[in-house]
Formats: sequence, C-alpha cells, structure tokens
Amino acid sequence: MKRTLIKLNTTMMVVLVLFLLAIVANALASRQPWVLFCYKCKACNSSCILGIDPQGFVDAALAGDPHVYIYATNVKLQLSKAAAIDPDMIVTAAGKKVSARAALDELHISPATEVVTYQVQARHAAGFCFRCGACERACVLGLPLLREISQLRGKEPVDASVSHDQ
Amino acid sequence: MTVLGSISLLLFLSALIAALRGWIPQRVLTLQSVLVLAALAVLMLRVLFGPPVPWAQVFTATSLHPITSTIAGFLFAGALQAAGGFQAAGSLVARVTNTPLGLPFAIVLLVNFPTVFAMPCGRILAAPLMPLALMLGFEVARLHRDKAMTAMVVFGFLVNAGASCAPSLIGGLGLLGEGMGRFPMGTFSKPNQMGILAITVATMALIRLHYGRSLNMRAEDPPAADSRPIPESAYLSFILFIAVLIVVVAIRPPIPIQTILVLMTVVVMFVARLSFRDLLSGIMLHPLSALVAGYIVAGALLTAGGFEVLQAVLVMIAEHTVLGYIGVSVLVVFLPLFLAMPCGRIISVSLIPGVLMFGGRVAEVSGFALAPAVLLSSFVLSSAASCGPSPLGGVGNIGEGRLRIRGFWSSRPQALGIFLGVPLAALLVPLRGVEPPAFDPVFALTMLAIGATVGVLTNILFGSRPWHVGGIAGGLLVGGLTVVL
Repeated sequence: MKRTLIKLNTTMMVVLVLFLLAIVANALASRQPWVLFCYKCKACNSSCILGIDPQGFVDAALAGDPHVYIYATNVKLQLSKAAAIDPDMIVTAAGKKVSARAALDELHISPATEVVTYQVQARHAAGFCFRCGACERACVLGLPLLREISQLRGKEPVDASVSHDQ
Repeated sequence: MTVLGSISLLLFLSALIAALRGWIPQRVLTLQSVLVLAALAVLMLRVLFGPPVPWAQVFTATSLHPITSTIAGFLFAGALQAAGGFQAAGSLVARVTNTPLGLPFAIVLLVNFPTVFAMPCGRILAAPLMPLALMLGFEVARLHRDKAMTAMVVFGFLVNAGASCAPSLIGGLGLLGEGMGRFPMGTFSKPNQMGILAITVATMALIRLHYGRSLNMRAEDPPAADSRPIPESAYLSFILFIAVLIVVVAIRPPIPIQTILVLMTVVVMFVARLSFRDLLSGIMLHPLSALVAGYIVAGALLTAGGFEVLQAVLVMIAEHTVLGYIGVSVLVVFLPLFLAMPCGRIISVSLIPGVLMFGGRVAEVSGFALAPAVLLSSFVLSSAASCGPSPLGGVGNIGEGRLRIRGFWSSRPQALGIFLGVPLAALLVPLRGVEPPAFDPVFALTMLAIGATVGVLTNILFGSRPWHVGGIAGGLLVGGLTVVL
C-alpha cells in the first residue's frame, strides 16, 4: 500500500475511534454514564402506556442532545397544542403521519382536532411521561431511566394536558 | 421519497458493491475507509441539500453493546487461550469422542451452543469458543481427509452464534422486535431457536454439498497437541466459563454481560497468573472497526432518508406489481440478507415499523391475524442472522480471518442457510401463539423432534450413519436445553 493510502486509511480509522469517543464523552457529559450499558433491546418499549420508546431517552443522552426525535405513539392532544409544543412533531392526523405544521397548513385540519403523536423530541416525551416506572421494571438491566427522564424534564417542563388509550 | 434519500441509498449501495466485488481493491482502500468515505459523502450531500446535519441522529444509529460485547469476548478469549482453557476443553471433547457418542455429539453440541445459551450478542460466545470450533473442525477434517469439514464446523458455529442474539432474553434482538411490535417478552424466542438450528444445519449442508468445492483455505493444520499435562487452572477456567454462562442464562442477573465477562477475565488472570499482554492475543480489530464503520454509514443514511426511500420503494412494488403485499413481505423478511450489515440492529431499528405495516396489510388481505407476528419474528431472525454473512465486519469474518479464506467466501452458504432456516421459525410462530410464554408440552415435543432431526442430519453430513447415537443424543440434548432454558 502506498504511503498516501496508508495515511488516508489511518485517518479513517482515527475517525472511527473519535466517533466512539464522542459517544462516550456525550454519555459522561450528560451525567448518565449508565446509558453506555444499554442493550438497546427495547424491552422497555412495550411497557409504556403512552407508547413512548424509553430507549429514546438513552439515545438522547448518548447523542448529548435532548432534541432527538423518539417514538411516542399513544399521546393524544389537540393539534394546536402539538404545534405550539413543536411544529415539527410528527403526529397521526387524518390517517397520515405528518408534522403538526403540515397538518395545519397543508392538510388544513382544524387546530381543535385531537391527534395522536408519533415522533416527538426526547425532552417533550419526558414532559408527557407519567413517571410510573414501568420502563425501569421492564428493563433487563434495571437501568435508571427515570433519572434521565427527570433530567430532561428539568431542562424544559412541558405543560401538556394529554390523554392516552387504555 | 426524497431526491437526497434516493441518491444517498444509491451511493451507499454502489460503494458497498464496489468494495465487495473488488472494484475498489482492499489494498487501495479498506472496507472501513470505503464505508466512512461513503458516510461522509452522504453527509456532505445532506449539507448541499440545505438542512444542517443532525449529528445526534448519526450517533443514535450506533449501538455500543455489540462493540463492547466483542471487545469483552475477545479479552476473555485471550485469557482462556493463555490459561490453557481451550486445551482443557479439547481434552474434555477428546474424552467425549472416545465414548460411543463420538464426534457427532461434540459437533452438534458445539455448533448449537450459542443458541442454547443465547447471549445478547453472538460475538460474546463466538470469540471465546472459536478456538474450540477450530480444534474440532480440524480434527474432523483430519479424520475424513476433507478440509471442507473444518469450514462446516466453523461457519455452522458462527452462523449459529450470529443468529443467537434473536432468541436471547437478556437483551437480544428478539426483544427489540417484541418491544417495537408490542408483543409479550419471549414470544419469538423458542420458534427462533428452532429456526437457528435449521439455519445451522442448512449452512453446513450447503458447504458439504456445494460450496466446499470452491473453498480456498490457507490456514495450516494446527500443530500436534502439546504433550505436557494440562494444568488444573486450565480446567478450572473453562468450567468457570460454562458455569457462569449457565447461571447468566438461567437467572438473567441485571448486570451487563460485558461486566460479567471482564470480571471472569480478571478471575482467570488471577487463577492462571496471566499478564495483561496475554489478553491482547485474542483481539481482532477488523470486525470491530467494520462494525463501527457500518454504524456510521447507517446513521448517515438515516439522516438522509435512505431507509425511508427503501420503504417507499417496497410499498410501490407491493401496490403496482403482481407481487402484492404478500410477495413483498417475503422480500422484506429477507431484506437484511441483501443488505447484510455487521449488526442486525442497524437495519431492524430502521425497518421494523415498515415490517409491522406490511404485517398489518397482509393480515387484512389474507385474514390471517397472526401475520404481523409471523412476519416480525421472521424478519428479526433474518436480521440477527445476517451479521453472519455480512462482509462489513460480520461475525463470519472472524472465521474467515482465522481460516485465512479470502473473498468473503462464507457469505453465500450462510445467507442461503438463513434463507432455508427462517421459514421453519415462521411456521412455528402460529403453533406457539403470541400469548405470554408458558410451558406447552406439544411445543416442547416439537422442539425435541427438531433437535433429533438436526442430530440425524449432522450425522449424515459428517459421514456417520444417520442413526449414530452421538448426533441424535446431541440433538435431543440441544432441543431439551432450549426447552428448559
């Protein structure tokens, strides 16, 4: 292999190592180092009555970004409220999965219509969360998910009167 | 379907095919470099198309668990190797082979070991047990004067290990499917275990009957066994390993498996008085770096909407061709084999919502209410097993490296084996049902029968009489253990 190619390939290996280090650094910076142990098996997912994917909170900590979009498939709220919380929130409206903004502006759905969320930012999902602890109990490792949820709620509490299907 | 997503998907597929077909020689750019450059190109395209790169999404595509599992597995393998644990295991296997049970018993047990003691990542067992598979493979090849038999044992074991994260109840890929599909935990576990037995025997049969002829294995036969007595610490290390595995699978402690492996490594180091340098002999960087590169390129594709495009194309095919939703569902199940990633979780997380949607449509069209469960279970197994044939640092690469086989030779028999074995798991899901798992005597007998059949087939494949007691006893033991554990 030529020297230039060795340099290029080595650089790519360094990129890989830096990428991993960035994830570890994010987890430590979020003060939730336990997220590094998560199997990402989603055993917690089926336990949430609000259809929130609690593994998304782990992803938010690993990415060091509370704006990561995660699944929350059973939170009901008015379209106007959804748009006020986050216009880019994905909701199920008129049988389609669209952003709250598109539902209002393009599909012309009434702002008072009740819609069901589909993908929301991790910080907003934490705001919707009832903190019942079902996700922690379902976790095969018993990871303290509520700790991360509380931290995300603390950053930006969401005032949303939401409901869910039983 | 966006232009950016379409271009990104095409770019990724072109880079992948170019690397795999040798159009971009490895001596110019390694596979890892090709993948990272493809990811960078996709991210640059994303910038050109307007919105800033959502780096968080790139990070979230990565799953640290398979990476750390592989490292922990390699470290423990290094410790066991240095402590003589594999010599001790070899001596135990030799004792078994001198009984009427013979080699078929040892082979059935070893190749199916990862599925019986299903770990959340197949690499956890693939790394430490690889020397044992090599030892057994070379022994059976020497007896039958057929080098392909080494590959049969090694790749049978590896495809089994790769797929074994599907039925694992301690954080395996099956839980991911059950979680996302909102099925009770463990619903797919037993059917998938049976499917993996079929995949394993099918892969070994394909190598024996067809692919073995094109095998170009440059690994030399191992040197004759060391005549020095094996120290007691070697037996202790190996027995400790097996005992801990049984405890972990039986009681599922809430401790990361990596922690357990590292603690075991420390214990073995202490018992056998090893140094840190001894551990490093087990480390292989290629599968690790390819795994990380695979995650990066998957993250880049995710941000560019590549997987959404893939899903949209599938829906289009279902709605506008004779394949319809049922035909495309079969395609979807085996999609992870066509896009074999180094870890099944990459494609699973991206495509399971689509799989569930297809399952729902198939249920509507056919009136078969369990269609989503059947489809999801098959997809999960296909996804989990796809890390075996993946040339991007899949678990099969470990075997190719150890046997010094070039050109990703093992990918085809493994992929075809998966193709043949997955339908068995699909057939068993309706029999098992989707209620919370409980002991079912009919299903238990079915598992024993499948185990015995696998034993008979292994007997035939390794040149023994079909009714040789070793293969059948091994198969029954494997079937019985999957029922109990």
